[in-house]
Amino acid sequence: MRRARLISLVLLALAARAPASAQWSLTGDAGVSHLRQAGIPESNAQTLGATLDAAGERSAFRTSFLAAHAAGDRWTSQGLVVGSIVGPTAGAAHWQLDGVASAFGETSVVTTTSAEVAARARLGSLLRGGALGAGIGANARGAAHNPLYRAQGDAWWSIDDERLVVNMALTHTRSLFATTPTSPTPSQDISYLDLGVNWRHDAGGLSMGVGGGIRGQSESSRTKTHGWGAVDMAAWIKPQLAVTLGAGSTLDDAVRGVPHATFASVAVRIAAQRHTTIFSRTPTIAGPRIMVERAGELRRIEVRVDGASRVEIMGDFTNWTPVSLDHVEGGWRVERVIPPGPHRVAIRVDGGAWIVPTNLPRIDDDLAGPVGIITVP
Amino acid sequence: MTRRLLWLLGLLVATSRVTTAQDSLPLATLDRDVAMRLTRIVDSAGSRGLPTEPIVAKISQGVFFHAPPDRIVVAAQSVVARLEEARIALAPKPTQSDIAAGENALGVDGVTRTALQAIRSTSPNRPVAVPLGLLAQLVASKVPLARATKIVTDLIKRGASDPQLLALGNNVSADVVHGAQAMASLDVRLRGLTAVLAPVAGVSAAATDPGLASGSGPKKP
Repeated sequence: MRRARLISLVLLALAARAPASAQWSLTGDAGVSHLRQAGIPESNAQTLGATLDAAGERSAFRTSFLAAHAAGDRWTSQGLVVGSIVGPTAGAAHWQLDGVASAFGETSVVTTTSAEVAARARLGSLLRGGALGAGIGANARGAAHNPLYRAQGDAWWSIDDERLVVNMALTHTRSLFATTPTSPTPSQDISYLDLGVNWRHDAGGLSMGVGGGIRGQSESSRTKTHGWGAVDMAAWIKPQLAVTLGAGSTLDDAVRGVPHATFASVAVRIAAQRHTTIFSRTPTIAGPRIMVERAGELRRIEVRVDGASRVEIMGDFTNWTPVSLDHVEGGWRVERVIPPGPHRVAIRVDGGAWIVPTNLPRIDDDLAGPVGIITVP
Repeated sequence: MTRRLLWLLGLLVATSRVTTAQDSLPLATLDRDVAMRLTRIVDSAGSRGLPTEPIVAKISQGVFFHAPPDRIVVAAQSVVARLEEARIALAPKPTQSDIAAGENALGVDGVTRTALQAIRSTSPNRPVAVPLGLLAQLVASKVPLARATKIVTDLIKRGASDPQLLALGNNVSADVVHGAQAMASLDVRLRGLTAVLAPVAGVSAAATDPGLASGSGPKKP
């Protein structure tokens, strides 16, 4: 246990140090949850949580804490720290080291702590890829220490704002749940296979996820199958304030000592950083706006402008020759062959002056004066 | 009038062997000396393997806006210099599109060859035209070059797709038009993108704790 904890702490420290110059976020949650969990009475519990995330080029670090105050002045709390370091690219393959440490406690129950380290081989990118690996660790409840062995595989697939993750993990350890929750005595060896699927959507101030899975577990000579599922949603109503909803059921976590639970929760989330809100509307700019997208081998340029009877465009991709756009529903459109990359552009509405579309950054061209910079895919 | 026609005919013969891009040179409205100088600039660039379309576009632009001939020549020479600089920065095997994109990015005040080199070294084997477009948009939106370069290279390393890079640049540009500070907008917009691009957790993603494994904080209880 001591060795596993030491190794995982080293990994966590490395992962936490690396993303210092990268993206990070800090959030705090406060809310209520209808909670049914072994060891505490079913009730509406007040919940308090905090999460710190940091992600660098090749490392990620997360620590989260959650506490619930249930009926009968019973408390349950858990903390988790996860750090990952990804090795340099070697073709499409990477190595990855993960370290995890956790703690779980309930009123009148001996605290369970755990530490794990794992090594994985990854293929693909962060958008699409997979990983296979194995890890070791241990947990401790009171004086009892239990070893942990795990083999796992993950696959992930992202399209725009959607992400699908499939996990498989085979775990061998000793159960902490066969006896009463207040007993520090570990019971028999167990092995279980988890298969899980998570879908996540993050866009426009709305983050939502759905997950579920099954577990096949062997205990002595018996084999059991269990299922779990959870949904969650966070809607940012202000740049630093979100409403979160969550519901689901989870299985016994034999490694971290967290008993199975059923919950439905609502909370407010306060963030240290600003977020896009669900009320954000990018296309509310006054004046003509321009968009460009792929249309097979061509690129489709669309200009939206109110009340125009004629719209023209010119840019380096037209050799600065005016090109009239066709009127279509909702805007004005033309399709052309345009090389990808940044281009300079200006538009003219109803034969007026050449202007920069209002949604583009403008620069001063040496010959044309103000022009817009647009990136063509 | 006859003299002008003869000159145009001569110019046509003289330039009959040049490339397609040069054929579209709008030289008819320029005097002969300037036309020949511009033709030589385009011809020389083409013979050195540089894309000639950006030079032709610049000349056309000068003609369209009735710029003084000498300014058109200087502008064309500047494009050639930027094309050369982009080709060196994006070595060893830049595509014509990459070179043209690099030239356009270098034309934005503040963008440097070093920034292009950083992007190329991050993505040595893939086209970088779209990342260069994002760089140009961010810098044109008043994001400091060092920060813009870091963001673009970070996103490439994380495997961001071209549509994701485009969306980031467009969103930041639109926010700035709304009156937002470029850096503040960037932080907000980047947060959404990095949520999608966050590294997949290893042990934590195993189903031993489904409640804590998903994307945005504690879910259990």
